[in-house]
Amino acid sequence: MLTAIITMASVLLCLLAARRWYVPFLRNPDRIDIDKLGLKIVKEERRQRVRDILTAFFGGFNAMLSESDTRKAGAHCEAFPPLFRPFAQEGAAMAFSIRSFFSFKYSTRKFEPLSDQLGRPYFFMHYIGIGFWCGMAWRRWPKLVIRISERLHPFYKYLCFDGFGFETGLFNYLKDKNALNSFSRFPGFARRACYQGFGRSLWFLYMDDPASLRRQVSTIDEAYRGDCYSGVGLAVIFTHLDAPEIAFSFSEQVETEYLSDYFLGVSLALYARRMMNPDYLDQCLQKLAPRQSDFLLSALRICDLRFDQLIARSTSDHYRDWRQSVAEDLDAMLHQSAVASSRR
Amino acid sequence: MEKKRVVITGIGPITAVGTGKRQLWDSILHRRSNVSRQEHYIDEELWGGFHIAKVSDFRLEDFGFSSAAVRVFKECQENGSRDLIYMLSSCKLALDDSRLVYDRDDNDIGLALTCENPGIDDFICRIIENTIEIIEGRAPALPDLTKIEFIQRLYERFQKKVYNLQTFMYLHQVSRVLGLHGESLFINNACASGLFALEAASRMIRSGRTKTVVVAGADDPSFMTKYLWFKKLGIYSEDGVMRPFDRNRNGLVFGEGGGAIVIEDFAHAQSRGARIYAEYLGGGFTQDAWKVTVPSMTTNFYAKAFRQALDCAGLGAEEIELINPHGAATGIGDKYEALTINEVFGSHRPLITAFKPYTGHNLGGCALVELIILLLAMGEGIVPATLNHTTPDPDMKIEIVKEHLTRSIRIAAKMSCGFGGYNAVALFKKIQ
Repeated sequence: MLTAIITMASVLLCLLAARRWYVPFLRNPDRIDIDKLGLKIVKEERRQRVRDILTAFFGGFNAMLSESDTRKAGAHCEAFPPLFRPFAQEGAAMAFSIRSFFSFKYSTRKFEPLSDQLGRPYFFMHYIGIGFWCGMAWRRWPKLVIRISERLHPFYKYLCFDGFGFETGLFNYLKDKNALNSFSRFPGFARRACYQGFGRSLWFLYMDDPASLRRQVSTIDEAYRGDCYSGVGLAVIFTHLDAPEIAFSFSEQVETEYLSDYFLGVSLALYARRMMNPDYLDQCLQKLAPRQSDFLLSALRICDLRFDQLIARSTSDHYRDWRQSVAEDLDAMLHQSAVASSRR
Repeated sequence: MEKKRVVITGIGPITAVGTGKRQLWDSILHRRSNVSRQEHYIDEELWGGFHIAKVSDFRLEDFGFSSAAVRVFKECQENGSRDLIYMLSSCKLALDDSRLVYDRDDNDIGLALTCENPGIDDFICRIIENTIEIIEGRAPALPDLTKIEFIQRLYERFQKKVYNLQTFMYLHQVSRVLGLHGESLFINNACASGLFALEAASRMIRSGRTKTVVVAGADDPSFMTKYLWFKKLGIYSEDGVMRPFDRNRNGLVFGEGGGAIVIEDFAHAQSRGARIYAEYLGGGFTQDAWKVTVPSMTTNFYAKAFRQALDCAGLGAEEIELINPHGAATGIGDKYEALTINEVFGSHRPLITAFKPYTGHNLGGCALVELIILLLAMGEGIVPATLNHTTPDPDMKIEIVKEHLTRSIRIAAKMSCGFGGYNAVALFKKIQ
C-alpha cells in the first residue's frame, strides 16, 4: 500500500515538474461503461444519449485540465452541439476544482471571474460542477464544502449543493443507501438542494424505468420527496430538451402532490437553458403542442417575474425565496391548467 | 493643465412639498410630506388607486414665461404627462436663482435633461382609452374600416404625440423656450439619471466648451400603468408611507415634480459674484451588468462607484461627513446601500439621511431633487431627519438621522442607484 502511494506521488511529482500534472486525471469518455456506472438504462436510444452527455462532460473536463487558457477550454465546450454544451461546461467546472489544487490561479475565490471566461451563459453549470467535485473529494468534510460554498455567489451557492447531491446519487447511493445521510450535515436549504441534485441523479439512473424511479423517491424522507422530483424535472429538460414532450409524458408518472415540484424543476431548467442558448430553446419548444408550449412559456414568465420581485424582499436567501415563490405560482397554475385537468 | 472646478450656482425644485427653494426648505424644517391617495376611474368605474406625493397649486403661468411659450407647452401636454412642464419650470427656477444674465440669441449655455420614460405612461393610457372608445363605438369602429384604414386612423390620431415623445423633442422644447444654445444631452439611467447627467454636464465645462450648464430632471408618475408595474414588483407602499432603512419598510411612494441645478465654471461664477451652493468634486459611476431590478450580489459595484468618486475627488472616506443615499425603502435596495456604506466606510460613520419621504420618489428626477435638498442642508447647516424611520433594521448596521441636527457639513455624498444596474455617487464640498 505504502509503496503504491509513494509510486503514485512520485509519478505525480514528475508530471508536475513536466507541467503535465493533469495527465492522470484525463478521462477517455469512450472507455466509460455506463453499466459499470450503475445506470439502469436499457433502451439503446437513451443509452446513446447518456454516452453523448458523457462525451461532452469529459470533453469539457479534459479541455479545462489541459488548456492553460480558460477561454480556450470554453471554446472547446462551445464546439459541442447546443444540447450537450451545458454538460461540457459542467465537466470543465469540475476540472476547474481539480486545478485549484495545483494553482492559486484557480482558487475557488477566483472561480466567478474564471467562470465568466469559461462561458458566462453557463454559469449555472459551473456551480453544479464545483459541487460535483465537492461530492467526490470532500464527502467526509462537510464543513469544507460549506466553506467553499460560502465563497461563491450568495444567490447561486446552493447549486453547488445540487452538484454534491447529484454526485452522491450517481456514484454512491446504489452501493450504499446511507450515502444520503451526508446531506443531513448541511443546514437548511442546502440540504434540500442536495436532494434536488439527488433527484437529478435518479433520472440518469432510471430514465427508462419510471416505476423504479418513483419507488426510489418513495423511500426518501417525505420532507424531501418534492425536492427529488424537482431534480427529476431539471434532469428531464437538460437531457432531453430536443424532445421536450418527454417532460409532459413523464409527468404522468409523478404523483399529483409532487407535480408542482416536478414542474418547478422543469421551469428552472428551462430558465437556465434559455440563458445558455435562447434560440435553441425556442427551436425545441416549437416541437410541442401549443397547449404544452404555452404552459412552459407561462412557467418561464413566472420565473422572470418572481426574480424581479426579489427586490421587495429583505431576506438573504434569495435563491430559496425565488424557488419558493415560483413553486407557489406553478402550483396555482397547475390547478388551473389543462395539464392538471387532463390528469384528473 | 489644472482641472477646471465646477460649482453649483442655481437650484430650482418643484416638489409636492414646495415649489422653489424657500417653500421646499420650510417644508423640510417642518417635517412635512404631502402624500394623498389618488383614484383612477375609467368613465365612472373605479380602476384603482394609490398614494402619491402630488404637486399642488402649480401654474405654468406663474413662472414668467411668454404667453406664446405657455400656449405651446399646454398644447404639448394637454391633459397628459406633466414631466416636460416640470422640467421646463424647474430649469427656469434654477436659472432665475443663479441670476445668470445671458443673451437669448447668442450664448453657449448647455442643457442636460433626464427623465425615465418621458411621456410614455401618458401615451399608454391614451392608447388604452382609445381602444375602449373604439370597442364602444365612440370612435370609427373596426368593422367599418379596412385594416389599413384603421391603422392609418390610429396613426393619425397619435402621430403628433409619438413625435413629441422622442427625447430630442424634450431637449428642443426646453432649449427653445429658455433660449439655450450650447451643447445639449438627454440622459436616461433610470433613478440614477440625475447624477449621470450632472457628470456629463460637468465634463462639458471641464472640456472648456461652455462655462454654464443647466441640468434638470423631472417625472410625472401619476399614471395607473406606472403604479401597476411597481405594484407587480411588490415595492409600492400601499399605506403611502415610505420608511427608508426601517425594519418595517414596505416600498416606495411616487412623487411628482422635478429639480434643476445650474452648474458653472468656478472662475466664471466667481467673476460674476454668483452665490455658490457647493463645488461638485467628482463622481463614480458603475454598471452591475447583471439583473434589471436586483442589485449585483457578488462584486459590489456600488461600493466601487463610491471608491471611484473618492479617488476622483482626492478624498479619503473619513472626510465624508454626510451621506444622502437613494433610500427607496425597498427590501433589497436599502440593504444593498447599507452594505455599500459599511463596505466603504468601515468604522468611520458619517451621518446618513434619506429625503424621499418628503418628496416621494421622483424616479428619473429624484437624484436632482434630493441633491437640491442636500445643498440646502449644507447651506443652512441643518441635517434634515429621515421621516418615518422609527425602527432600525438590525441587519443593516447603519444609523439613520431621525431628528433634524444642527451641523455644519463641509463634504457630503449623494448616492443614487437605479433599475438596470446603474450606480452613481457624487461628492460635494461647501465653499466658504
